[in-house]
Amino acid sequence: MFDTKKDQREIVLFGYGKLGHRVYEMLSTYFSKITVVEQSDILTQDAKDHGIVKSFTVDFKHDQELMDLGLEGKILFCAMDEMAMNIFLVLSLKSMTQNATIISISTSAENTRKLKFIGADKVIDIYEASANRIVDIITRPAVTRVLDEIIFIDNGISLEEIEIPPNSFLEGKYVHDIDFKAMDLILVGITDKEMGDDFIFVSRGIDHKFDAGDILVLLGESPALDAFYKKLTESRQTSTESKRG
Amino acid sequence: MKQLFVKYLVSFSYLLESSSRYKRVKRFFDNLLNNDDYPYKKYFDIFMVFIILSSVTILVVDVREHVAYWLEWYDYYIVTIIFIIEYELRLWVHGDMHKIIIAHYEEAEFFEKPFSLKKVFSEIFAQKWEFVTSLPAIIDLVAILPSYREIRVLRVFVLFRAFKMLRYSRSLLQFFDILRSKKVELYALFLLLAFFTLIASMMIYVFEGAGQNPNINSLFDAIYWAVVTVTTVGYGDITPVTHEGRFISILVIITGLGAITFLTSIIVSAFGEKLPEIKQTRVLNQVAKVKDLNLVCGYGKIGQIVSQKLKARGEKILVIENDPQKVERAELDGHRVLQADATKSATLLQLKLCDNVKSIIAVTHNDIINVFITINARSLCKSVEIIARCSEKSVATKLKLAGANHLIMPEEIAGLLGAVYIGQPVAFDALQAILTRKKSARIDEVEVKRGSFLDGKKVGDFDFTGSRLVLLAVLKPLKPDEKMSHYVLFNPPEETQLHAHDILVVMGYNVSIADFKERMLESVRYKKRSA
Repeated sequence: MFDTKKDQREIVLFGYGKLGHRVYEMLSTYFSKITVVEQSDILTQDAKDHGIVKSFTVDFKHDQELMDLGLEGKILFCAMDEMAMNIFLVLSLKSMTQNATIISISTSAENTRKLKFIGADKVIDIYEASANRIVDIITRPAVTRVLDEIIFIDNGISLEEIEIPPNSFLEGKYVHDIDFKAMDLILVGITDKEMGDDFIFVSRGIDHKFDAGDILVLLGESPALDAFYKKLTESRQTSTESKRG
Repeated sequence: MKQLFVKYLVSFSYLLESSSRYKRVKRFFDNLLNNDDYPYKKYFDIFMVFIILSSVTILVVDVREHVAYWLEWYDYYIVTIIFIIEYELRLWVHGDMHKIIIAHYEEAEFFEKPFSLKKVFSEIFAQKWEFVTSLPAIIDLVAILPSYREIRVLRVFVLFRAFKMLRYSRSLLQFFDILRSKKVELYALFLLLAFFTLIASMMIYVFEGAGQNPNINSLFDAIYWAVVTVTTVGYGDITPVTHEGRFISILVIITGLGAITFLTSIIVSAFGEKLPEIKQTRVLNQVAKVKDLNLVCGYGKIGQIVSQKLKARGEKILVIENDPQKVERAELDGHRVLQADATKSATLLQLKLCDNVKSIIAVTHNDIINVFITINARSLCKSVEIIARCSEKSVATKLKLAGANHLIMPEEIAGLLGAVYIGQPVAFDALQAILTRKKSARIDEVEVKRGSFLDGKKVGDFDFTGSRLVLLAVLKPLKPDEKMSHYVLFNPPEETQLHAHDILVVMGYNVSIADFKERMLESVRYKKRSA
């Protein structure tokens, strides 16, 4: 669940310029373990002035200084104002980490291509994303309203992914067996381990069998999502206990 | 006697000033004759072009052939009368005589001075004279002259009927506007040429006019030779025979070449300078009647992607940009572009903001300019949808206050997408796929049509799952039959009642959504047929 993950992920945000500053503001509403890394002393000081204790000045050209930050297993978010620096940073980080997730901001399709080529796990093109939103507002206003309710507006409605734990009540059941509507939830899709890692939309009509490890993407209000998550984990405990008994 | 005349004149002027009917009629004719945006002017222009072409044809054919009596009658009376009426109407709508009379009368009353008829008439005369001496009015007047067939030389004025067509073609008029913009240079050039021609003709006449050259027998021959030589035409019917004459020829040819080069450069530079204006007029003409236009203000990175995507989805767009380089880029990308400042009221008014514009997308890289565009648009029209981009939080508040309906904050979107991705990569990918339509599943909206199979039914009455659709939400109008504002009913229960104008937001594959939409339309058609 989103909220439960809130304090689990450690994020290293590279850049606290115009872009990095705003990205930090958004990330900090969801995550608490954020380290800010900057090249410029002034911007690091700026971050400290904003109350970010874990903010450091590092020369990105010196790999050792970067490695000293302890990047393994963390989310590395490159949000430098200068695109060339982002590309250089992603390249450096990729060469020195094995299991870190690298996210980078891009400002053009060309930069996106370069960033993906050098191994960024996720590239967010800020202009493309903004333009998509504008186009949706004009061409699909109702859809935009609904997506706003899900993504942008903090009203408790969210899109959540939940991994089916072993021995839960879902195991062995089919999509059609479960009345998600009765639980005030909408099942958007599923990553069915049996069928590979691809995400499949439920509207495709295939009646998937739920297995442990499958990831469900559900849409609903927080209480309904919480209740479902609780039911999943409780059923797991009950099942384990009954096996012991 | 004079006092009585003044009394009636002033009373009549006040009567005209207070008469809405008079004003309406005058405005109608003014629009018909002079306002390019007036919808009926186009028909009037076509009618006049037809009259001119028919008249010119008759007059040209009449030079050698005998035309039918009724055609002559048509040209004598109908065409001439129409031209005279048009001339009179143009003279009439050019300024308001009664307003001059009233202004002078009120001034005289206020300062307790005598009312001077002389002053009034001289002002009225000056106003009308301004029209009479304008080039189009002179052409109009001269075009009436060929009717007097008795004076044969007046037939040459048939040309002026052709010139009269200039009035009815904006692009032809623009050509003259361009030349007018360089009138000082052109005037200087023609003066210089006239001077050289005169000097050259006098010199050749002096050297060769006294019998040395058998072809130069008068000063007119000399002038003719000078003009033909200075323009580099050189027919060769008159050629200098003396050394002096040939020396003058050399000078005249060199001068002529220089003058023609100069003339060409004047015209080319005038066209170069006026080209943006010509393009602007053309673009304005193209979009004048386009409804539901989206104005993309600013052709930066976001502007470029938005324009391209909106165009791809069949939306009508017009790019407004001030920077010539970006204008060129937008033109190369195949968009209609207006080189103008979107923060100026005139720009938006020209585009008939309230009537024709669906949305304004203020996406320049400068937050302050986006605020100005928003204020400008909202102050001119309450209903237009405004989407504005900004980076600073403090500006966001101002944009909301200024009346923007939607704010686009690229840095915030990036942060949010990053956060969603970190928290839930699978859900993020699903969402991205839906938003970018990269996989065939997508979210779409379907309006419940009046009389369709869902109108008046409950959500549970239709098997969405069976149709391979997922109903995400229903948007219901805030007021019955209200189409603009809705509230969102997320994941609606089975017993939710559906009505016309409700909007269903469904997720599904292209085929399922298309099928659902088709079923909706088909049920409306079926209901109409059975009714």
